[in-house]
Amino acid sequence: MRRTARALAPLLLVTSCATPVRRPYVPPLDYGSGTPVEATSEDAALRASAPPLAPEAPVRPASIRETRLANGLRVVVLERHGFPAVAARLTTDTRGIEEGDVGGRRAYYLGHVFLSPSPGAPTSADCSVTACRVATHGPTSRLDEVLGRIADVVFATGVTPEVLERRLAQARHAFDVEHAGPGGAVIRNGAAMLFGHTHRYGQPPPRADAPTLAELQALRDRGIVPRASTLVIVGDVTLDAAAAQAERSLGEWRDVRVPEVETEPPPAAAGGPRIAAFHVRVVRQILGAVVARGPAPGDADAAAFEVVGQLLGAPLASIAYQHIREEMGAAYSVGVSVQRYPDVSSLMLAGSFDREKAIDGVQGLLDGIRSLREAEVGPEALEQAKRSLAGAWRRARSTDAGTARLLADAVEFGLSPSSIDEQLARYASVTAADVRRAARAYLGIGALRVVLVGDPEFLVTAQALRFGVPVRVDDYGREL
Amino acid sequence: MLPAIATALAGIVVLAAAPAFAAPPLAPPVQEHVLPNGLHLVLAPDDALEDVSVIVRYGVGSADDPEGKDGLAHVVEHLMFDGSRHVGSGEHARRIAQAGGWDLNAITFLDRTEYVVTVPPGQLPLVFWLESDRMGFLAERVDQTALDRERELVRYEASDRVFDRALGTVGATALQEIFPPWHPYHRNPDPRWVPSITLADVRAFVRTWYGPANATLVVAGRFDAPQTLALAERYFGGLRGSPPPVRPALPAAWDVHDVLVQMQANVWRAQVTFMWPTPALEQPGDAELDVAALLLADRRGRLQAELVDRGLAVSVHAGQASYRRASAFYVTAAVADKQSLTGVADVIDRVVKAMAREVRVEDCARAREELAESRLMRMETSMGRARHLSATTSLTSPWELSRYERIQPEDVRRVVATALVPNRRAVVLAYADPRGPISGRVFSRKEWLP
Repeated sequence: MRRTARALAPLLLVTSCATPVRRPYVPPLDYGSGTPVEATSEDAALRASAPPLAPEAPVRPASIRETRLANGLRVVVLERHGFPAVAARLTTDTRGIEEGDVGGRRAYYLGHVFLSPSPGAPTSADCSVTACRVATHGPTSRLDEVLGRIADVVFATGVTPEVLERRLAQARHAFDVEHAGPGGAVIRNGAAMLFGHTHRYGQPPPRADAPTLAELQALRDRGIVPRASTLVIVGDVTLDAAAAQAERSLGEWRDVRVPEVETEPPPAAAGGPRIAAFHVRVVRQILGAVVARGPAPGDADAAAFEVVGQLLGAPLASIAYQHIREEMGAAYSVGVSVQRYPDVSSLMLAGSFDREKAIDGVQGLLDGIRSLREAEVGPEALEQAKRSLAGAWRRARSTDAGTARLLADAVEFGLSPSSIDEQLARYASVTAADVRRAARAYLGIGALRVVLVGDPEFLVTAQALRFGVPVRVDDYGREL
Repeated sequence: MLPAIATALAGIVVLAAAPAFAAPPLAPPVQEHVLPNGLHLVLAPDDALEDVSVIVRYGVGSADDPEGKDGLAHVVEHLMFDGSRHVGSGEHARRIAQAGGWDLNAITFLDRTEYVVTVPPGQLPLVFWLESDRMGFLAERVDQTALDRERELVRYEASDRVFDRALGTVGATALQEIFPPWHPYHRNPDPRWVPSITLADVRAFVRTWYGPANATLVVAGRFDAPQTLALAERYFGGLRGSPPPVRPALPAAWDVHDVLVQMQANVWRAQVTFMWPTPALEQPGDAELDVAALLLADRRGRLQAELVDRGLAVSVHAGQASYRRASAFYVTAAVADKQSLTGVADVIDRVVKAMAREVRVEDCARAREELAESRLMRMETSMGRARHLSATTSLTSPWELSRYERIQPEDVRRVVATALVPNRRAVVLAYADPRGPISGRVFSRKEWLP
C-alpha cells in the first residue's frame, strides 16, 4: 500500500482485554432497592390465561393454469394480484444426463459456470443431481426484464470464454468454502453413511478436481433444454401475459437433444460404521448429527414424516429445541433438516454442542427419536407440530418467490402443481398413529447413523453413547 | 378511547404527497399512536397480505452494556423467552408454534433489541398477551437456573457465530479500531465477561431499559386497525415503567487514524477489509453511502471490475451498516489464489479515491433504481414492512422510497470524499495461516498519526 513518507507509529500488539472496557457514555443501571420492578395491571383476569386461538384462516384459492410453448417449454402460472410484483423460476430436470456424478459435483460446477446470473440482477441459480434452477423476481411493470434475466442465463448472453474461465475459478473457491470445515464434514459423512460413496445422493469428496469447461459445456448442451424444463411464474400477471412474454424471451430456445430421464433406485443402506467420528481441532464445539433416510415426497407417509421431523427438531417447540437447548442447555444451534429428492428423502437431526454436554446432547436426540417409535405422540404436541408445518407452508405461500418455489418443487418431484394447495389438508389429516408408524418405518434403530465431528480427545468419550462404538473416519467418511 | 397526547390527537398519519420524482408504486397507510404510558404504536394494515407480523422494539442494545458487563443486553434478550409472571418457561415458543406462527426470533443490535414474530391472521390477541406479559413482568420470573443456562447459550452462540467461524473476528477487530474504547459501539465479542453477569444486573437492566416508555410496537399485515388499537390498549395500557435514562451526548467527532491490522486465520482464503466511521442512520450522508456501496461492489460495481474481473479477488462486498449514533462503512474482498493482500488493498484504496473525484450520472441512476426496487420488494411481506418501520427513525415518509431518488452523483461524490478518507479508517489484512485460529488472531497493528 502506498504511503506518504511518515514515521510509523511504534508497533503495537493488540492483546485481549484483561480488564473491562470503560463505558463513560453508557448510563448506569438502576439497581433500585433490590426488588424487581413491579408493573401492575388492572385486569388480572385478562392476564391469567392465554387468549383462545383463532381458527385457522382459510387460504385464498389460487388460480393455477399452464400452457406449453412451441419449443416444448412448459409454462405454469399462478396469479396473485395483491402486490405489483412477479417471481419466475425455471426448473430443468437433469436426472440421467450425467452418470456417476457423485453428490452432484459436476452439477455444482455446471450451475456456477453456466447458470451464473446477469450482473446486477436479483437472480439465483443452482444445479443438483436432479435439477437445475434459476429464480428471479421484480416489479410486474418489468415483466420483460424479469423473464429476460432467465433468458440471459439460458442463452449465456454476453458470456465470453474469459468469463467462463473466471467463473470456473470462482466456482472452485466456492466449492472449497462450502464443502470445507466441520459442518461440511458432518454433511459428507452423513450422506456417505446413507447412500454410499458412489451414489448421486451422496456428497462430493472434498477438494475434488473441478471438471473442465469442455465437460461442462457438453453437460449443458445435453441437459439444459426446453423440453425438460418448466417455467413457473407467480404474481400480478395473467396466464396470457405471462405466456406471451415467455414466448418473446425464451421462444428461441431449442433442444440440442432430448435427454432420457434415467433414475436408479437408491441403494440399500450403505455399510460402514453406525457412528463415524471425524477429528477436527480448530473448533470449540462438538458437532453431532443423527441421520436416516425417509420417504419420497409423493409417498403416502410423506406428510407424517414431515411431522416427525417437526416434533424432533423444529425451531420453536420440539424435542431438540425444548429439551436439548432450553432444558439441558447443551447447544445453541440444534435442529432438523430434510433433504428431498424425487424418489427418497433424508433427515438430519443435528446440533453444535458444548464439549461437556455433547454426549448427553446426542443421546438426547437418540432418545427423542426412540420416544416417537415407542409411543404415540400426545395430542397437544401433534397439533402444535402440524400447525407449525402449516405455518411454514403459509410463510412460503405468502410471497411470489416462495409460492414459485413450492410449485417448482412439486414439478421437480413429479407432483401436480395444484397439489401445493392440498398441503394444508395433508398435514391436518396426520394422526398420532401415522406419526408412530412413520417413525418406526424410517427411524428404527438399524436405520439410524450418527456422525460426530470435533476434538479427538473428546470423541473418545463418544463410546458412552448407547448406540455403538465410534469409528474414526476421514472427512469423506472413509474408515481410518 | 385513547386520550389526546400533547395538544393534538395522535390520529391517523397518511403518507405525504408523492415526492417530486416518480411516485412510489405502493404506499400503504401507516398509523402512529402513543399510549399514556409512553408505548409507541405503529400500525400498517393491508388486507392484501396473508398474515400479520409484530415487532416489539426496545430502545436498548449491546451498546448499552455497562462496564464489565459485556453481553448483558444479549443475555436479557435470551431470558425474555424463559417466561414471565403468567407465561411458563418455554411456553412463549410453544404457544406461537401452536398458533402456526413463524419467524419467532429476537435480535440484539447495537442500538436496539427487536422481538419479532409472524402469525396467521386473527392471532394478535395471543401475541399481545405474550409480549405485554414479558414487557411488564419479566424480572420476577428470572432465576439463577435460567440465568446460568442462558449465559451458557450466549457463550455457545459466540462460538457458533464468531470463534468457530472462518474469519469471525475480523469485523469486530475493525469496529474496535474505528470506534475508540470509550465509544458505546466499541465492542468486544469475547464472552469472557458473561459469567460475571448476576441476577441483580439482569433485574436492574430490565428496570432501566425494558418498559413501555422505551418500546415501540409495530404491527404490519392483515388486521383490523381499530380493533388492534383497542387490543393494544387493553394489554399494554396498564403497564407502568420508568422512562429510559438519557444517554450522555457523544463527542461530535473523534480521532481515527489510518490503522493497519494484520491477522492470521486458519482458513482457505485470505481477506482484506476496509472500514470507516460514517454518518448515523438517516443523517446526511447515510443514504448517499448506501448508493456508494452499490456502485463499489454490486455485480456491475467498480470493485467487481477492478478486482473480481481481473482475477485479484474472488468476491467483494460493500455496505453502510447504519445505526442511530454512528455507522460503519465497509468493503471486504476475498483474495484470489496467489494474489497479494496489499495489492488488493491498493486497488480498493485507489477505487475509493477515484469515487471521491467522480461519480457518473448513469451509475448513480442505476444504483437509485436498484435500491428503490429492493425496497419495493421488501414490502411484499408483512415482516419486511414491519422490519422497515421498526428500523426507520421517521414516520413522516415511512416507506422512504423517495429517499434515494433525490440523490445526485455530486452528492455521492461529496460524501465519499469527506467520509471515506484514508486518515480515518481501519484496514484489516487476514492472512490464510494454519498457525492462527479459524476466526483469526491479530499479530500486528500499525497506526499512522497525522
